[in-house]
Amino acid sequence: MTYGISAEWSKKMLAFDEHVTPGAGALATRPHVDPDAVSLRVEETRLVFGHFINVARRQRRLTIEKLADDADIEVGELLSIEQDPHYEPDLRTVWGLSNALDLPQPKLMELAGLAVPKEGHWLEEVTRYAARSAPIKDVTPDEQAFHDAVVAALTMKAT
Amino acid sequence: MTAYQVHLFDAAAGAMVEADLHDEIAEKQLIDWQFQWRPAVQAYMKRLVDNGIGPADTAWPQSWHWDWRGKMNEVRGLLGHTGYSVVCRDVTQGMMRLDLASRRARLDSQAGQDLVYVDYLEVAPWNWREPYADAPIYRLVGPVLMHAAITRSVDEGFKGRVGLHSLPQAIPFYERCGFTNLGTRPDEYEGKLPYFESTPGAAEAYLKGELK
Amino acid sequence: MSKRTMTLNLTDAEMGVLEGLCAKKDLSKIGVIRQALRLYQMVDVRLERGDKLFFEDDKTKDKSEVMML
Repeated sequence: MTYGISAEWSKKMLAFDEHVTPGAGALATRPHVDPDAVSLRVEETRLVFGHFINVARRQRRLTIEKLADDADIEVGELLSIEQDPHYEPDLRTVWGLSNALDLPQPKLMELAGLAVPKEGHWLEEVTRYAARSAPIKDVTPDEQAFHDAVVAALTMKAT
Repeated sequence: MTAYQVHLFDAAAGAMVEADLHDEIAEKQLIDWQFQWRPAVQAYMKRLVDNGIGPADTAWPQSWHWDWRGKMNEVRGLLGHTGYSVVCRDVTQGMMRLDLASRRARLDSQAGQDLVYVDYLEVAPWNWREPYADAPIYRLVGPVLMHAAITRSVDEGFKGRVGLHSLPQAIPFYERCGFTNLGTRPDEYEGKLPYFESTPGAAEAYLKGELK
Repeated sequence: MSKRTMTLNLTDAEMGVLEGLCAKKDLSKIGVIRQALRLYQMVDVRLERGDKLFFEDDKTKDKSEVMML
């Protein structure tokens, strides 16, 4: 049998235009999560979390490798936290980071989206603060070198 | 990987557009999911929240938490599972994961016989038809994936038998595909997802483009 | 997908079971063997992960573990 599909078949199928989205598989309900806590807040605070870890690390003049080592986590995990707002860190990782950076663990959990905040004002404040502090400064010479190296690798022709 | 030519409907152009059906869900699909689908779902959910819609509402998307990377990791290397994806203009428009081995037919006429079970099927959020979503960019992604599931069933010698649990919002879609609705069971998906199954006759009609 | 061919020698008893399954499952011989391999692999992988395989009596709910060592 062929998996290819003719335009004719597709045209017939257009008549089949139910106003529904096809989908099959497990439901999106997560009974163990309080529905009110399922919000976009998590994604927002996680973005702040990643940004904050990045700044906290640089402020302490730690390389990614060093901080990962201190927190006893994988380098790739730390990279994901700093750079991928959708990355969901696990509890052990945040615990390791709170120890390595000497920060209160419960609040860091809240910022990482792993715990429901008991009182949310501070999260809103730091979110606003993060928005204001988004870097617009010039890149440093090190960043420039990194940038150039990546561009060079990207533009290098395959041999 | 093999790519087969299929056709989608480009709503903005009002015309058919060529697309590829891939007989796998590859890293490219997972990257599209991660960096294009997920932000689009987030934006859509933000819109829902802005409109006062919450998780209890029927308009809340039912697949928003699906982790395709995790789903594919679960079955990596297993002969009994496979995936298909639809790619148009270099972007993944829909994908599904199939279970070829562990499920049996339930309809009386074919009870106990092997079938292709659709573990998961999802179309890209910009192709959704939801109350608060923009009009879909491409149509026919779902029908093309169902065509692939049925064709695979024929190829496997299962004569077009396909089973799946429909998301509540998608029930009319599978009814029009000619599938039989066997209803929900309390021990499956909290009794919320009805089970659908196709017969060889229904499959043949679908592949010919005959709709209910 | 490229495919490779092999010859499979079965005893009469084995062939009898295979043909019986073909009739019951409405599948070709290769279809049955392919399904058997998929299921065998799936069970093996899950046991390796530490899962257990049970048969449950639908009425009594009695469970008996299937040992695959």
